[in-house]
Amino acid sequence: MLHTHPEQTEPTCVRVAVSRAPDAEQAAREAAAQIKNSATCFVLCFVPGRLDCQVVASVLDDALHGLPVFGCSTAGQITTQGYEIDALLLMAFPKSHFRCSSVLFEPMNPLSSTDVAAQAQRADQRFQHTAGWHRLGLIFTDGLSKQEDILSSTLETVLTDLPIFGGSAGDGLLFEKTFVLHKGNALSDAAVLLLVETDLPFQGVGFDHFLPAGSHIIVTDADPEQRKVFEINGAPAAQEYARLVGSSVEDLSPEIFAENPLLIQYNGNHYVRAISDADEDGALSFLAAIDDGLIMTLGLGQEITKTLKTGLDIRDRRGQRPDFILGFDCVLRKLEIEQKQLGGAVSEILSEARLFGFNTYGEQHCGVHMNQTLVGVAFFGPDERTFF
Amino acid sequence: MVDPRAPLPEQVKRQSKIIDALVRRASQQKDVGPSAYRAFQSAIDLQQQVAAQTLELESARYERERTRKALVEALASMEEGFALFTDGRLNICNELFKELLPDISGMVVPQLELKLYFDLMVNSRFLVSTNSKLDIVSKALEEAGPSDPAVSIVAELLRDRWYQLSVQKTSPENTVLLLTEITTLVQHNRREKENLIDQQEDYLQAVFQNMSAGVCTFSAEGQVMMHNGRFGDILGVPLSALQPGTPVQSLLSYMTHRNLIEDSVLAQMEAWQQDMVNKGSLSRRVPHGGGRVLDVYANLLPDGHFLVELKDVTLEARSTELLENRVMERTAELTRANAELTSQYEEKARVEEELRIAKERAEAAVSSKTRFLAAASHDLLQPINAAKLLISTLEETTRETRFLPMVERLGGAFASAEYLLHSLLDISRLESADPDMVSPSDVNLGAIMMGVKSDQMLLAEQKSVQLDVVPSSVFVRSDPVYLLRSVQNLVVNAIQYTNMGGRVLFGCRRKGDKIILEVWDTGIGIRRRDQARIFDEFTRAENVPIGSGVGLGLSVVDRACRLLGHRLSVRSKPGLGSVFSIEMDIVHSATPVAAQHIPVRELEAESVDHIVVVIENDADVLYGTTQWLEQWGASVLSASSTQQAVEFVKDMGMAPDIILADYQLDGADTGIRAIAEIRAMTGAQVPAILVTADRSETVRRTGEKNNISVMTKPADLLRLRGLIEWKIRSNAPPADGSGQTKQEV
Repeated sequence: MLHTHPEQTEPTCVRVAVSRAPDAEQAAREAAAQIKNSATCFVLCFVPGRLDCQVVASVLDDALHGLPVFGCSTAGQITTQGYEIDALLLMAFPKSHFRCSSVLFEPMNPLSSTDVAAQAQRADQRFQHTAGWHRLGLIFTDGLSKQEDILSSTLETVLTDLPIFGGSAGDGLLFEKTFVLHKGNALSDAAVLLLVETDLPFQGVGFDHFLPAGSHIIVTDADPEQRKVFEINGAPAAQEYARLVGSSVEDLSPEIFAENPLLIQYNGNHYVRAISDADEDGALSFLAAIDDGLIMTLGLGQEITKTLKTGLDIRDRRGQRPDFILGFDCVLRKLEIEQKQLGGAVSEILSEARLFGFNTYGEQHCGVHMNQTLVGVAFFGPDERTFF
Repeated sequence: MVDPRAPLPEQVKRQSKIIDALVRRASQQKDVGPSAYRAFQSAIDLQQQVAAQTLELESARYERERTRKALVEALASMEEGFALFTDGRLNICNELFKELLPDISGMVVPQLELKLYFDLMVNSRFLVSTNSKLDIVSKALEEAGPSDPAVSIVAELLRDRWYQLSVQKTSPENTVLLLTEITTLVQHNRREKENLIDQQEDYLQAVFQNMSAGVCTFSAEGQVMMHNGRFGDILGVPLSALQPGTPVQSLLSYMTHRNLIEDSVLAQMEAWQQDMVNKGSLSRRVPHGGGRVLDVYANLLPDGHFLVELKDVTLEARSTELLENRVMERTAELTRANAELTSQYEEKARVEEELRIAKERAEAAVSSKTRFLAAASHDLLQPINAAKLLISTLEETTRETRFLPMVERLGGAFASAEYLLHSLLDISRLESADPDMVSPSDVNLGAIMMGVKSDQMLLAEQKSVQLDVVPSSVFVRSDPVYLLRSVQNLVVNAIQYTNMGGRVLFGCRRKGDKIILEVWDTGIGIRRRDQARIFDEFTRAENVPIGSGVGLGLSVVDRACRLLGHRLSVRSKPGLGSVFSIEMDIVHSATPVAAQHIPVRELEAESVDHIVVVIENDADVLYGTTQWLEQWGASVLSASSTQQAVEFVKDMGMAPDIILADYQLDGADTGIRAIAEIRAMTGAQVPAILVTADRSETVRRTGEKNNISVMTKPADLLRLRGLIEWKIRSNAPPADGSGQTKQEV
């Protein structure tokens, strides 16, 4: 059994709708109009930072007659055109291949892992299994809650039989307030877990493009709760970081952070810790968990387009390419790509891979919260049974 | 690690900070409690565990695949077709199984349902037959358990290949299908069977040759194939003429030349062929050369050949013929006898029919005679009625003259004629068997007897016979008119045959439920031999003096009693007298029909001053009635029709005192109608009397219903006058001195 159209660009198992209208209501109505209500099970919605999330949520609820809409505010969208920053993106998942159930976790601060575990378990038990279908979890979290690590590791521990993929909501690059969408509401300080069941074969995707380089960096003073590092190597953090990356403290910018993340090593693997900001007082804010006394190294970026191409060249066991990929791409990766004038080329790769999603403030994969990675789920066309 | 450009003390300070931090971290490792970083770490640990497990699973899967591959290889090397169905679906099978039926091999794929496989098998064009239905197998499988024996089916495939299909349920979910080739076995069996068949053929050949019937088979084209010796013998044809391959035609022509076959039979050959084609067989008896008779049976065989069997039935045919002749003779005799009987029967029927017609004619004649008599009597009564009225008037007028005796004789003659006619009319009526004739009701016998007595007093006085009655108040079931007439006739008869100074007595006595009315006389008596015939018409006993009448009276009594169901008898001794008796049923507690009791008053000499309307279409009767009434001083308006009567009353301007009307007027006009119209016009219930010759019950009832008295013609003038008086008087208002009854119109 062969798919004879590898170049086909339109996915068959999801409906992608986009509106670039400047007004929140108009955009929501335009995008909703492209969706066939009756055939749809649920909709994922990714809202550009400049649109009012609350307006979008309630207008969609109205326009789609209460069809469940989930999603979040973003720091950029990945549409059929690749990277965009002003497009309201809707992904409609058809009933023929998907079933879904949702759990809202609120508030995030403080977060009770016991409650989360109980809620998630209950939802999982209530969600009936369909023979021959498989499950996965999708999680959208307030990107400024700083609770993704605990949330995602808790879920991973509780929901043992299904893989969970997630992205943290963004707000352009303002780092002020982010929202998650849950059934007509836009909420801060909250997270939405979707339990999705599908008869489509799927495969998890997760990669970054850094390798550890240079000497060790020791965190000598930090506030793990606030993901803040005051000192590294016994010196003020920003200053020391600037020295290590060969810049001045004044020149530190998201682009520099994106290009020069810090890596930590654990059990033989490295994990990116992205820096979101450098304070006046020389402290560095991180987008993932850090700790006092932690040993890190500087990450050496690999050729980003090449790692992207390799990472997205996915085949199922029949040698078939995915029908589409739902992707959560770190906004810092996008910054680096644009820094290197590679935006067009990358958009092309993403579009060709039929990857849709958004730019995050952090990605969750297999219970781990990470930065500067691309995490996603590749869905393949319906499994036409092959026989020996 | 530390910025080498920093001053040394600074570097040392930083180094110590680094050491502190590392020490802090190292000592922190044992802490428990939620920390973002620890969560991160534990997630990673978990992830790695999962990865390790996944790897194990992968290797397990690989192992399974290898096992399966080994299984597939093993299955492929099997000499039998093998398939394992798990949960009713194909799990695995080998190439042999798959390729057994090439046209369905493409559809034998994993997950194929067992039932579906059987369906495919049945529809495969490579499958020739199975020894039992495949769906029975799948049904049996559903019920079977692992311990049940395997179900086996033998399947025949194209090109004479044979397989045994064994189906065994090895566990509740697994079913194994095993296909074993048994072609060699089947072929061996078949060879054995063929040998057996050869032996049987020899045996059959011997039987064939020794049969008493001649048998020959012909090919579809009509050529001799094989025959036994008897066939030639019976046909009388030598072997040379019956060589295999000889056409039927040449055999027939051979036989024709030697006169072995009759032309009539030869002519039927075409019809025989047609029969064979249509029915597939034929059976004929034909004459054959030398006076022999053959039975020929021919049967079409499935392969288009046909078999002819001959039997020599000459003897049989002869005895049959003999029998048939006898039967035919007997049949002819019987047919003749039957024909004779039939003609006799028809004759009888014809006579019966003639008798019936004769009877009908006779009945018609009697009936027309009765009708004629009735009509004649009626018509005769009209003029007599008129004559009586006139004679009565004449009598009054000639009372003091020498003509009186003559007028009285005339009156007597007419009275006799009237009596005679009455009797005739009664007889004819009683004979006509009209159900309207008699209408039994509850009748006051005493009243009737008193009436008869008063009516016949005059006659008795004239003959100087003493007439007595024993009073009674009994009611009987009878017809009032005919009972009265019967009693009257008996009494008149008794008076008639009693000599001067004799005596007549009548009355009734009870006898159980019956009442017997008896009329005794001291008359001349009736001899025993006459007693039975005195009731016939025109019969008189021999001792009756000449001129006593024609003898119709008793005949009327006899007929009336028979119709009414009364028993009439007579006892008599000549010279002493006779007793006539009528036996009737008593009616107890009866509410009698109030017999109209009309008091018969002594004829009053005084004249009456009444206005009387008389309606009568017979001019003579009308005249006679008018004369009769005017003679008493009545004012008479005589009209011949309703219209005329109504005009007279209108002219007069007041209601008459009484109306006398004939029932039957001209055309549809009736007296009833005239009375009704006059009553309606005057608005007064004018008394009315209907005088009619029609004696039917219908008229009587109609009169009663309309408050009209009915008298039959010819009217007894004495009674009529009494009735008129009584009716006028009872209609008048109570006498209060005014005395006038006239009403203004």
